[in-house]
Amino acid sequence: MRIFAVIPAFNEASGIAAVVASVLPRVQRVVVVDDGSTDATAAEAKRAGAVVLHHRINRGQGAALATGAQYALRHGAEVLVHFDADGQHDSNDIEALVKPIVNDVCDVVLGSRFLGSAPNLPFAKRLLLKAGILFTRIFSGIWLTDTNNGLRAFSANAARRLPVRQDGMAHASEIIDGIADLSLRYVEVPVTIHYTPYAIARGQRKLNAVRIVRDLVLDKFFPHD
Amino acid sequence: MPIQWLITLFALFAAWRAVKSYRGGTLDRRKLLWWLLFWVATVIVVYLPQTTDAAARFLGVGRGVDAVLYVSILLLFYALFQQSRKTDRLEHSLTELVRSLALSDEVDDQGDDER
Repeated sequence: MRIFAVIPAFNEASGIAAVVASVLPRVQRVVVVDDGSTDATAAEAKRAGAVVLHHRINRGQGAALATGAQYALRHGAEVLVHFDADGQHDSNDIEALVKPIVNDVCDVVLGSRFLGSAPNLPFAKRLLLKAGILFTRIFSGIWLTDTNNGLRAFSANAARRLPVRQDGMAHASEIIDGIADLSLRYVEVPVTIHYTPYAIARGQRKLNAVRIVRDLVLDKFFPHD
Repeated sequence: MPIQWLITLFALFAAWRAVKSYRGGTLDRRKLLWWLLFWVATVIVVYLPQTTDAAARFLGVGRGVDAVLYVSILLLFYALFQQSRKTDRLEHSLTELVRSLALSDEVDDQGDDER
Protein backbone atom coordinates (compact mmCIF):
# COMPACT_ATOMS: atom_id res chain seq x y z
CA MET A 1 0.00 0.00 0.00
CA ARG A 2 1.23 3.46 -0.85
CA ILE A 3 0.90 5.45 2.34
CA PHE A 4 1.52 9.18 2.30
CA ALA A 5 1.80 11.30 5.45
CA VAL A 6 0.67 14.92 5.12
CA ILE A 7 2.15 17.30 7.68
CA PRO A 8 0.98 20.92 7.67
CA ALA A 9 3.63 23.17 9.19
CA PHE A 10 3.68 26.83 10.08
CA ASN A 11 6.94 28.08 11.59
CA GLU A 12 8.03 24.71 12.96
CA ALA A 13 11.71 24.88 11.95
CA SER A 14 13.00 23.74 15.33
CA GLY A 15 11.09 20.47 15.44
CA ILE A 16 10.03 19.56 11.91
CA ALA A 17 13.13 17.54 10.98
CA ALA A 18 12.70 15.19 13.94
CA VAL A 19 9.00 14.71 13.14
CA VAL A 20 9.72 13.96 9.46
CA ALA A 21 12.51 11.54 10.43
CA SER A 22 10.21 9.66 12.80
CA VAL A 23 7.40 9.34 10.23
CA LEU A 24 9.48 8.57 7.13
CA PRO A 25 10.29 4.90 7.90
CA ARG A 26 6.58 4.13 8.30
CA VAL A 27 5.23 5.59 5.05
CA GLN A 28 6.11 5.78 1.37
CA ARG A 29 6.32 9.54 1.32
CA VAL A 30 6.15 12.43 3.77
CA VAL A 31 4.59 15.59 2.37
CA VAL A 32 5.22 18.70 4.43
CA VAL A 33 3.03 21.63 3.48
CA ASP A 34 4.88 24.73 4.57
CA ASP A 35 1.99 27.10 5.21
CA GLY A 36 3.70 30.43 4.63
CA SER A 37 6.36 29.99 7.33
CA THR A 38 8.81 32.81 7.86
CA ASP A 39 11.48 30.55 9.32
CA ALA A 40 13.48 27.63 7.91
CA THR A 41 10.64 25.08 8.14
CA ALA A 42 10.77 24.21 4.42
CA ALA A 43 14.54 23.73 4.32
CA GLU A 44 14.55 21.65 7.50
CA ALA A 45 11.76 19.41 6.26
CA LYS A 46 13.46 18.89 2.92
CA ARG A 47 16.75 18.08 4.61
CA ALA A 48 14.98 15.41 6.65
CA GLY A 49 13.67 13.78 3.49
CA ALA A 50 10.18 15.18 3.02
CA VAL A 51 8.58 16.44 -0.17
CA VAL A 52 7.90 20.09 0.58
CA LEU A 53 4.99 22.08 -0.84
CA HIS A 54 5.08 25.77 -0.18
CA HIS A 55 2.06 28.00 0.46
CA ARG A 56 3.28 31.48 -0.40
CA ILE A 57 0.99 32.95 2.23
CA ASN A 58 -0.50 31.41 5.34
CA ARG A 59 -3.90 29.86 4.60
CA GLY A 60 -4.50 27.77 7.71
CA GLN A 61 -4.16 24.15 8.69
CA GLY A 62 -7.23 22.94 6.80
CA ALA A 63 -6.01 24.54 3.58
CA ALA A 64 -2.54 23.05 4.02
CA LEU A 65 -3.95 19.56 4.59
CA ALA A 66 -6.07 19.87 1.46
CA THR A 67 -3.04 20.92 -0.60
CA GLY A 68 -1.10 17.93 0.73
CA ALA A 69 -4.03 15.63 -0.05
CA GLN A 70 -4.21 16.88 -3.60
CA TYR A 71 -0.52 16.20 -4.06
CA ALA A 72 -0.82 12.73 -2.51
CA LEU A 73 -3.78 11.76 -4.67
CA ARG A 74 -1.99 12.93 -7.81
CA HIS A 75 0.99 10.78 -6.90
CA GLY A 76 -0.93 7.60 -6.38
CA ALA A 77 -1.38 7.55 -2.61
CA GLU A 78 -3.73 4.79 -1.46
CA VAL A 79 -3.75 5.82 2.18
CA LEU A 80 -3.33 9.36 3.54
CA VAL A 81 -2.28 10.10 7.09
CA HIS A 82 -2.64 13.52 8.73
CA PHE A 83 0.15 14.13 11.18
CA ASP A 84 0.97 17.21 13.27
CA ALA A 85 4.25 19.07 12.90
CA ASP A 86 4.64 20.05 16.53
CA GLY A 87 5.75 16.69 17.87
CA GLN A 88 2.59 15.86 19.81
CA HIS A 89 1.81 12.80 17.69
CA ASP A 90 3.58 9.49 17.99
CA SER A 91 4.70 7.83 14.75
CA ASN A 92 4.31 4.45 16.48
CA ASP A 93 0.55 4.97 16.12
CA ILE A 94 0.63 5.11 12.32
CA GLU A 95 0.60 1.36 11.87
CA ALA A 96 -2.58 0.85 13.90
CA LEU A 97 -4.11 3.91 12.25
CA VAL A 98 -3.74 2.70 8.66
CA LYS A 99 -4.53 -0.97 9.38
CA PRO A 100 -8.34 -0.73 9.11
CA ILE A 101 -7.92 0.99 5.73
CA VAL A 102 -5.34 -1.46 4.44
CA ASN A 103 -7.73 -4.26 5.44
CA ASP A 104 -10.58 -2.37 3.75
CA VAL A 105 -12.66 -2.38 6.92
CA CYS A 106 -12.90 1.41 7.06
CA ASP A 107 -12.61 4.55 4.91
CA VAL A 108 -11.56 6.89 7.69
CA VAL A 109 -9.67 6.20 10.90
CA LEU A 110 -9.60 8.81 13.63
CA GLY A 111 -7.08 8.89 16.43
CA SER A 112 -8.49 9.27 19.91
CA ARG A 113 -6.45 10.37 22.87
CA PHE A 114 -9.30 9.47 25.19
CA LEU A 115 -9.20 5.85 24.07
CA GLY A 116 -5.43 5.95 24.18
CA SER A 117 -3.41 8.08 26.53
CA ALA A 118 -2.68 11.73 26.89
CA PRO A 119 -0.29 12.22 29.74
CA ASN A 120 -0.27 15.76 31.16
CA LEU A 121 -3.42 16.84 29.33
CA PRO A 122 -4.24 20.20 30.90
CA PHE A 123 -7.64 20.32 32.60
CA ALA A 124 -8.89 23.37 30.66
CA LYS A 125 -8.02 21.68 27.42
CA ARG A 126 -9.77 18.48 28.48
CA LEU A 127 -12.91 20.51 29.17
CA LEU A 128 -12.66 22.26 25.80
CA LEU A 129 -12.27 18.94 24.00
CA LYS A 130 -15.24 17.42 25.82
CA ALA A 131 -17.34 20.41 24.77
CA GLY A 132 -16.21 19.79 21.20
CA ILE A 133 -17.42 16.19 21.45
CA LEU A 134 -20.86 17.35 22.56
CA PHE A 135 -20.98 19.96 19.79
CA THR A 136 -20.13 17.27 17.24
CA ARG A 137 -22.79 14.97 18.61
CA ILE A 138 -25.42 17.67 18.21
CA PHE A 139 -24.45 18.91 14.76
CA SER A 140 -23.11 15.78 13.03
CA GLY A 141 -24.96 13.07 14.87
CA ILE A 142 -21.74 11.12 15.30
CA TRP A 143 -20.51 9.98 18.70
CA LEU A 144 -16.77 10.24 18.94
CA THR A 145 -14.55 10.10 21.98
CA ASP A 146 -12.22 12.77 20.58
CA THR A 147 -13.14 15.28 17.89
CA ASN A 148 -10.15 17.58 17.57
CA ASN A 149 -7.46 15.03 17.11
CA GLY A 150 -5.23 15.83 14.15
CA LEU A 151 -4.00 12.26 13.75
CA ARG A 152 -6.19 10.57 11.15
CA ALA A 153 -6.00 8.28 8.15
CA PHE A 154 -8.10 8.18 4.99
CA SER A 155 -8.46 5.87 2.05
CA ALA A 156 -7.73 7.65 -1.24
CA ASN A 157 -11.41 7.38 -2.09
CA ALA A 158 -12.49 9.05 1.15
CA ALA A 159 -9.85 11.76 0.77
CA ARG A 160 -11.14 12.47 -2.70
CA ARG A 161 -14.75 12.77 -1.58
CA LEU A 162 -14.50 14.60 1.74
CA PRO A 163 -15.16 18.35 1.62
CA VAL A 164 -12.23 20.70 2.18
CA ARG A 165 -13.95 24.07 2.42
CA GLN A 166 -12.69 25.12 5.84
CA ASP A 167 -9.23 26.64 5.61
CA GLY A 168 -8.76 27.08 9.34
CA MET A 169 -9.10 24.80 12.34
CA ALA A 170 -12.77 24.12 11.72
CA HIS A 171 -11.67 21.59 9.10
CA ALA A 172 -11.61 18.97 11.88
CA SER A 173 -15.36 19.31 12.35
CA GLU A 174 -15.86 19.56 8.61
CA ILE A 175 -14.26 16.13 8.20
CA ILE A 176 -16.61 14.65 10.77
CA ASP A 177 -19.64 16.26 9.12
CA GLY A 178 -18.38 14.84 5.83
CA ILE A 179 -18.10 11.34 7.29
CA ALA A 180 -21.73 11.59 8.38
CA ASP A 181 -22.97 13.11 5.10
CA LEU A 182 -21.18 10.59 2.89
CA SER A 183 -21.90 7.66 5.23
CA LEU A 184 -18.24 6.66 5.25
CA ARG A 185 -17.10 3.71 7.36
CA TYR A 186 -15.06 5.06 10.26
CA VAL A 187 -13.45 3.86 13.43
CA GLU A 188 -11.53 5.45 16.27
CA VAL A 189 -8.25 3.97 17.36
CA PRO A 190 -6.37 4.81 20.55
CA VAL A 191 -3.37 7.07 20.06
CA THR A 192 -0.88 8.74 22.33
CA ILE A 193 -0.59 12.50 22.40
CA HIS A 194 2.56 13.92 23.92
CA TYR A 195 1.82 17.15 25.73
CA THR A 196 5.30 18.53 25.70
CA PRO A 197 5.58 22.16 26.80
CA TYR A 198 6.36 23.03 23.18
CA ALA A 199 3.25 21.28 21.88
CA ILE A 200 1.08 22.91 24.54
CA ALA A 201 2.36 26.37 23.69
CA ARG A 202 1.82 25.76 19.98
CA GLY A 203 -1.49 24.00 20.46
CA GLN A 204 -3.11 26.76 22.42
CA ARG A 205 -2.40 29.16 19.67
CA LYS A 206 -3.85 26.80 17.12
CA LEU A 207 -6.83 25.38 18.94
CA ASN A 208 -8.74 28.56 19.45
CA ALA A 209 -12.19 27.33 20.39
CA VAL A 210 -13.84 30.69 19.92
CA ARG A 211 -12.56 30.92 16.38
CA ILE A 212 -13.56 27.36 15.53
CA VAL A 213 -17.10 27.90 16.78
CA ARG A 214 -17.31 31.20 14.95
CA ASP A 215 -16.17 29.61 11.67
CA LEU A 216 -18.64 26.80 12.06
CA VAL A 217 -21.58 28.95 13.06
CA LEU A 218 -20.93 31.46 10.29
CA ASP A 219 -20.71 28.53 7.95
CA LYS A 220 -24.16 27.37 9.02
CA PHE A 221 -25.68 30.82 8.50
CA PHE A 222 -23.91 31.85 5.36
CA PRO A 223 -24.06 29.01 2.87
CA HIS A 224 -21.48 28.76 0.12
CA ASP A 225 -22.33 28.82 -3.54
CA MET B 1 -30.57 69.12 18.25
CA PRO B 2 -26.97 67.84 18.58
CA ILE B 3 -27.90 64.48 17.06
CA GLN B 4 -29.01 66.23 13.87
CA TRP B 5 -25.71 68.09 13.57
CA LEU B 6 -23.82 64.93 14.28
CA ILE B 7 -25.61 62.92 11.63
CA THR B 8 -25.30 65.78 9.16
CA LEU B 9 -21.58 65.98 9.79
CA PHE B 10 -21.26 62.26 9.34
CA ALA B 11 -23.32 62.29 6.15
CA LEU B 12 -21.11 65.07 4.78
CA PHE B 13 -18.04 63.09 5.72
CA ALA B 14 -19.38 59.91 4.12
CA ALA B 15 -20.42 61.78 0.97
CA TRP B 16 -16.95 63.33 0.78
CA ARG B 17 -15.38 59.87 1.09
CA ALA B 18 -17.62 58.61 -1.71
CA VAL B 19 -16.59 61.48 -3.99
CA LYS B 20 -12.96 60.80 -3.12
CA SER B 21 -13.36 57.12 -4.00
CA TYR B 22 -15.00 58.12 -7.26
CA ARG B 23 -12.09 60.40 -8.13
CA GLY B 24 -9.64 57.69 -7.12
CA GLY B 25 -11.37 55.31 -9.50
CA THR B 26 -12.58 52.77 -6.90
CA LEU B 27 -16.26 53.79 -7.17
CA ASP B 28 -18.12 54.08 -10.43
CA ARG B 29 -20.42 56.97 -11.31
CA ARG B 30 -23.62 55.03 -10.74
CA LYS B 31 -22.61 53.92 -7.26
CA LEU B 32 -21.47 57.44 -6.43
CA LEU B 33 -24.91 58.73 -7.40
CA TRP B 34 -26.61 56.16 -5.19
CA TRP B 35 -24.47 57.00 -2.19
CA LEU B 36 -25.00 60.73 -2.63
CA LEU B 37 -28.75 60.21 -2.90
CA PHE B 38 -28.66 58.01 0.18
CA TRP B 39 -26.84 60.60 2.28
CA VAL B 40 -29.03 63.46 1.05
CA ALA B 41 -32.10 61.40 1.95
CA THR B 42 -30.60 60.72 5.37
CA VAL B 43 -30.13 64.43 6.02
CA ILE B 44 -33.69 65.17 4.86
CA VAL B 45 -35.07 62.52 7.22
CA VAL B 46 -33.00 63.88 10.06
CA TYR B 47 -34.41 67.42 9.72
CA LEU B 48 -37.91 66.47 8.55
CA PRO B 49 -38.71 63.16 10.27
CA GLN B 50 -42.36 63.55 9.32
CA THR B 51 -41.40 62.78 5.68
CA THR B 52 -41.17 59.14 6.72
CA ASP B 53 -44.58 59.06 8.40
CA ALA B 54 -46.37 58.08 5.21
CA ALA B 55 -44.08 55.10 4.79
CA ALA B 56 -44.55 54.22 8.45
CA ARG B 57 -48.34 54.30 8.16
CA PHE B 58 -48.10 52.11 5.08
CA LEU B 59 -45.93 49.58 6.94
CA GLY B 60 -48.09 49.71 10.05
CA VAL B 61 -45.38 51.20 12.25
CA GLY B 62 -46.32 54.05 14.62
CA ARG B 63 -43.57 56.55 13.92
CA GLY B 64 -41.61 57.26 10.76
CA VAL B 65 -38.34 57.20 12.68
CA ASP B 66 -39.07 53.69 13.89
CA ALA B 67 -39.83 52.51 10.37
CA VAL B 68 -36.51 53.95 9.18
CA LEU B 69 -34.75 52.17 12.03
CA TYR B 70 -36.34 48.79 11.31
CA VAL B 71 -35.70 48.97 7.60
CA SER B 72 -32.11 50.13 8.19
CA ILE B 73 -31.36 47.18 10.43
CA LEU B 74 -32.80 44.76 7.90
CA LEU B 75 -30.73 46.28 5.13
CA LEU B 76 -27.62 46.23 7.29
CA PHE B 77 -28.02 42.54 8.04
CA TYR B 78 -28.50 41.83 4.39
CA ALA B 79 -25.42 43.87 3.49
CA LEU B 80 -23.44 41.97 6.10
CA PHE B 81 -24.64 38.69 4.65
CA GLN B 82 -23.62 39.69 1.14
CA GLN B 83 -20.29 40.98 2.36
CA SER B 84 -19.58 37.78 4.20
CA ARG B 85 -20.36 35.70 1.13
CA LYS B 86 -18.08 37.87 -0.90
CA THR B 87 -15.22 37.61 1.58
CA ASP B 88 -15.71 33.88 1.76
CA ARG B 89 -15.51 33.52 -1.99
CA LEU B 90 -12.42 35.70 -2.03
CA GLU B 91 -10.73 33.68 0.71
CA HIS B 92 -11.56 30.51 -1.13
CA SER B 93 -10.14 31.78 -4.41
CA LEU B 94 -7.02 32.92 -2.61
CA THR B 95 -6.54 29.46 -1.11
CA GLU B 96 -7.07 27.87 -4.51
CA LEU B 97 -4.47 30.17 -6.01
CA VAL B 98 -1.94 29.53 -3.25
CA ARG B 99 -2.59 25.80 -3.58
CA SER B 100 -2.14 25.67 -7.33
CA LEU B 101 1.09 27.66 -7.04
CA ALA B 102 2.34 25.26 -4.34
CA LEU B 103 1.55 22.23 -6.50
CA SER B 104 3.09 23.65 -9.66
CA ASP B 105 6.27 24.71 -7.80
CA GLU B 106 6.65 21.17 -6.60
CA VAL B 107 6.54 19.83 -10.14
CA ASP B 108 9.21 22.34 -11.21
CA ASP B 109 11.53 21.57 -8.31
CA GLN B 110 11.35 17.88 -7.80
CA GLY B 111 9.97 16.43 -11.00
CA ASP B 112 7.03 14.10 -11.11
CA ASP B 113 9.06 11.22 -9.78
CA GLU B 114 7.79 7.91 -8.56
CA ARG B 115 9.89 6.79 -5.66
